[in-house]
Amino acid sequence: MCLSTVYKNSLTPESVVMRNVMRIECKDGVVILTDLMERQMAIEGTLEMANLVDGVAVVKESYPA
Amino acid sequence: MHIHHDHIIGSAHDHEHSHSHTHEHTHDGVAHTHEHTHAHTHDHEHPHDHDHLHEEGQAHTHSHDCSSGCQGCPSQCEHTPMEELMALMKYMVGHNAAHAKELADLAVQLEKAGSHTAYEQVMAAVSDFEKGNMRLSVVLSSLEVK
Repeated sequence: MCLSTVYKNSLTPESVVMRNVMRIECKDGVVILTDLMERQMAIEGTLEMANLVDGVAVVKESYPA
Repeated sequence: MHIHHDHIIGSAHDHEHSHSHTHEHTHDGVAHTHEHTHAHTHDHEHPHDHDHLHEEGQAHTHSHDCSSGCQGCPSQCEHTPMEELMALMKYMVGHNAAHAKELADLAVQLEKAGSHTAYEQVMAAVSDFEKGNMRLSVVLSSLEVK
């Protein structure tokens, strides 16, 4: 029930893609993040890890830039 | 609501295209210039179109020129820093209230398990917690009035 910080590919400060994430949806190979302000971000990939105690999640991108 | 397609925004990419330019070169030892066209494959960034989903779930396309993703895009979907802080504050007050209730439920479980002292201590902690949350709530109300 806590808000999370979502990282892309690795749990490093420079990999933060969205903070205060309240919803994570995985659909058709796309992970859709929604923050407290209802902003959304779609990342092609999979949810690799979600630590609900620490409020962190990592999305593994399918096609890294 | 605003969907940011992370994979296509502001990313450098390769593709082939052609362009014209003029440069100096030599033929039979004689230097001269002329314009010619040839293909290039290289990394670059350029203005582009992409789809967004808004609250109704309908996608639409608009174009913009960016090099660092949607974070730097001053669109109508943006909120002021104060609006964001207020939203976060409101969330935290509600969130703390939910946690206080969870702690009170836990205290009841301790009581049922036969630890009355622990029950009393946890309920005292819940009371302190609620006082702190009340203070946050007052701050939030004062910010909403402004």
